[in-house]
Amino acid sequence: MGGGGFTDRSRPPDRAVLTVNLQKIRNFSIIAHIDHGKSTLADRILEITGALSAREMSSQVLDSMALEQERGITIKAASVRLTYRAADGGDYIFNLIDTPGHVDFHYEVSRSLTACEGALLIIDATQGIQAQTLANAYLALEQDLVIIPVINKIDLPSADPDRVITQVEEVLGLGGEECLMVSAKEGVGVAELLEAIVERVPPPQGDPEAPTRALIIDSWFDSYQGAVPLVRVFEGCIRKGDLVKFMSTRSEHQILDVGMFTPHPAELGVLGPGEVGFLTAAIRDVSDTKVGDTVTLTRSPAETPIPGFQEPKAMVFSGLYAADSGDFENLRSALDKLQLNDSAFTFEPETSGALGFGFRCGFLGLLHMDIIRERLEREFDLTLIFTAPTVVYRVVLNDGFVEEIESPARLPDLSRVDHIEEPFILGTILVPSEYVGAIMKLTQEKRGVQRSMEYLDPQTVQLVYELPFSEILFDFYDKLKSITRGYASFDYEHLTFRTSDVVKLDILLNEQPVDAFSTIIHKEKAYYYGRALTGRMRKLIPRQMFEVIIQAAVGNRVIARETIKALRKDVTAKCYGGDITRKRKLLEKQKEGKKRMKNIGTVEVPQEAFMAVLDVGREVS
Amino acid sequence: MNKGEKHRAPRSIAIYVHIPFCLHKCGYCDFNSYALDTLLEKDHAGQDWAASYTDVVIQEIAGRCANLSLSGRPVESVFFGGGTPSLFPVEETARILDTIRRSFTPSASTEITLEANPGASDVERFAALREAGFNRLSIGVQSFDDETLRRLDRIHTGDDARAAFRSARQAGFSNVSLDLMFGIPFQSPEQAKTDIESALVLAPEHLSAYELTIEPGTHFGALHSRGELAGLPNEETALAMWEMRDRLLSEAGYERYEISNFARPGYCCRHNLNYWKRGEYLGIGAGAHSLIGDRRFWNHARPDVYAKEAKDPAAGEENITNKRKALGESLMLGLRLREGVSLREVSERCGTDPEEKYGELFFNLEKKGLLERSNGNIRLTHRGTLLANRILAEFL
Repeated sequence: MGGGGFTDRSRPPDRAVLTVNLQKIRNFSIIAHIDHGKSTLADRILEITGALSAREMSSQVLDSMALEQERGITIKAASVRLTYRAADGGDYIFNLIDTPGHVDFHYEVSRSLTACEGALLIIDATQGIQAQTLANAYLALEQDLVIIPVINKIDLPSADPDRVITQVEEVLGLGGEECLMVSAKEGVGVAELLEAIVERVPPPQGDPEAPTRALIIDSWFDSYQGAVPLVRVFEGCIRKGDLVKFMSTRSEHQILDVGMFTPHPAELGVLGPGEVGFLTAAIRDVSDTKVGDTVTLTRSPAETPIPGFQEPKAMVFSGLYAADSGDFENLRSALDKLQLNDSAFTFEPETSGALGFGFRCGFLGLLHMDIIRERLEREFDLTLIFTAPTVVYRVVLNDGFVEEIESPARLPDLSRVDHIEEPFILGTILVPSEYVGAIMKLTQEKRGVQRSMEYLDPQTVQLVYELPFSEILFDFYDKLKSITRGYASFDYEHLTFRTSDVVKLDILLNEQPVDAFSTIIHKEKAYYYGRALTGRMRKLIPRQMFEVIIQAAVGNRVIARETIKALRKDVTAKCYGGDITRKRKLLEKQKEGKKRMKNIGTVEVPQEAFMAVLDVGREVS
Repeated sequence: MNKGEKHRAPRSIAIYVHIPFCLHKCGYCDFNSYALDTLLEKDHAGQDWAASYTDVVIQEIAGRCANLSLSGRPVESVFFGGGTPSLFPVEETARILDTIRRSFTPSASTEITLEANPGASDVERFAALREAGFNRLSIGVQSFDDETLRRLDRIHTGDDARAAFRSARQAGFSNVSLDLMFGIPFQSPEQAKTDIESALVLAPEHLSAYELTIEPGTHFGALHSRGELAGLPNEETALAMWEMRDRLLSEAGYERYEISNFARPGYCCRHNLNYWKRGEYLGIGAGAHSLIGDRRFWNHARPDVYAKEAKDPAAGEENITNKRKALGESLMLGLRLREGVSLREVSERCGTDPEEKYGELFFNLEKKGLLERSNGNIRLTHRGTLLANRILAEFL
């Protein structure tokens, strides 16, 4: 993204003039449940508006990161400005504002939608409304956006558009006649869709003379241009050369360039009300350009920012260590680089008795964590050990003080603790009615409390549960999919902290507690978890020259125990002149294998044992 | 050459000659050897295969002496291994040994060993070898139990082995070694014990008693990797066999001087000791390895390819100029010996102080009861010996 070199720096810095007629601007997003065809539709729109030649059309242009293409989800918003000549003969500017498509990124989606006047709500004609369809539709309605329901994939034999129309009417309360029938893949109905955008999405409003307020809807780091925010201007203008202020951080920067992707980067010189574009200002740090923050002009600042800004808040934490402790500095610099592009990701140094120097990292959710992990391993070639992910617990002490802990190791001495609270989420599950029983069983196992159950239509049930966040950390989504043959969909939002009967479970190797294996877990699950984890570790830790005892303990009480018997014989019987090179290489290989292990006290623990914590979490939770 | 070196006597080396021919390839064997019948069909129809191979070996000796300036070096030991060197015509064996005698400087006490298999071992042949100058025989008995021998693919019987030993004595060999194996599929601890006792009845000067190792690239290795090699003893049984071996041999007056080697006083195999002390050796013949100075090199394993390259038959080479590598090897080899390693000697030879490099490791191993230290000498304890691979890997 970004892409330097298009600025003509020889141009005199004269004041750019607004040329865009507000009435000709349409700002919209495409929102959808995963795999309902969002990216394909975006591609088709780019193609029809002529923004990209056929030669340039690589599949799904907007999902620019390889990882996104692989996972089929959009992680970072990438937005484009398109020109469209409508049937009325007018030339319109379409700002297609992309939104990340996963539950971990609720806040980012809401900020993107704030920048729009309309939203295309894509619904798969074969699947109907899913949990994220609803969640996204509600977000759009909260922002008073005009929703254009788009029933996609009508070319498929199993498409049932009538059923989807009924759902749109009954569940979303939108008019069935508003639905557009589209096959993004075949290009069917896309021309009509573009006309509907012109007709139905209202043009933006805003006074170009008012104090400037622009909303940051995305930001990224470009190695030539620094941190680059993408903004939607609501009032006033932002020009090349202006001195601007970011209202939450109060940092000030001089604008070097104002531009937009068409999808090629193009210089605009000025952004007026209703316009969307990026600002380059040699901003060093992406944490200065926070999504949701308001940009104003230093010389005539706005009095109040655009409401709704939140500091990015990590919800899931995990310890991150380089498998080879010599890689510590490489890991730090990789994390620094990743954070340049992702201010929602946090890290701070942490020391583990077992794993040495590492970092406690915060993520928006497990998907976010997986993305970071894959990028670290793929882009930076690091072999990593992640400790078991944990949610944030609120520990209320006897004296009334509250500590928020992000790591089991930081749990205060229990004699000082009055009670512990854990975070709950509100989860929405949409599922065909025959799976309701299975869902109820699963949510019960996960300590969920049903809040409501509603038939959206005769086949589709919406179940709303309050669930401990820790219970959906590992595999809730996978299990949900497997017990419903993939038919269930899930979305969640964060709710509140509640008192909970959780305990700290420790793993001891030869009587020594290993901090990296500690976990906070509900009391009722501790026994099964401890037994499963010690059992798994017995299989993963190779026999050593001494007996290894693995124990799981809650406080002083040992709840599970396994023994790995001492290895008594590992000796090469023969070694003569011709064997020496070969035998030496065999031993060297043996030593290499050992290097990949972590020494905990006298016990050598392979990396897989640390990963086992995750697997066992999946089995037991 | 400076003055000091001029007057120092050149260090002695060991000479190894590889005779890569057998009547039959055994299932466990990963040595560089070829069944003679297939070889004869393929290559040397109508030619005298033994004479041809001998010619090449002699050519190599001349080449090595010239290229490496080895002519006239004192020789502490000569070892003809295989394969089955006893199968090789005695006159050709003698021709090679004569060449070695002329090219280097052996002494009256030089240990000259030939490996023999019970199948090809009559008194006349042994007597001729004695006559040719060999003073030590190493007989590959493996077991005295016919059933066990069949499982190992051996083509001789227990009685053949006894007969071979008697032939050796009759031919005048006063230094004879027997090779035994234990931990063989379906071998009971009692049977392993009987094997040792049967060997002791013959009262050899030297015994090598190895636990069977399943090597990749062998028939046994292939079976094992497919999970089809049944009857291998479990760790506990194998350990009991090690203990039994050590006890019986020690009671009979044999000293364990290496992990798998035992000798009556004064009869340690000097040739093999030279390997374990990381002395210099020249390997002649197909697939033979050498260590000269800080060069380790080896010949091509296949006799036909080796023959084509005999003037300079190097198939591979590595330079061990790295002091740490040399030190690692010295410890890896030296700690196989019961007497262990003299740290001062190793330090002088490798140019780096092991105490400096591994002092902490020595200390930790000692604390765990795996290593003993006394008077600047280190050696593995009994428990350490059984875990030698784990420990030796630390030094590489």
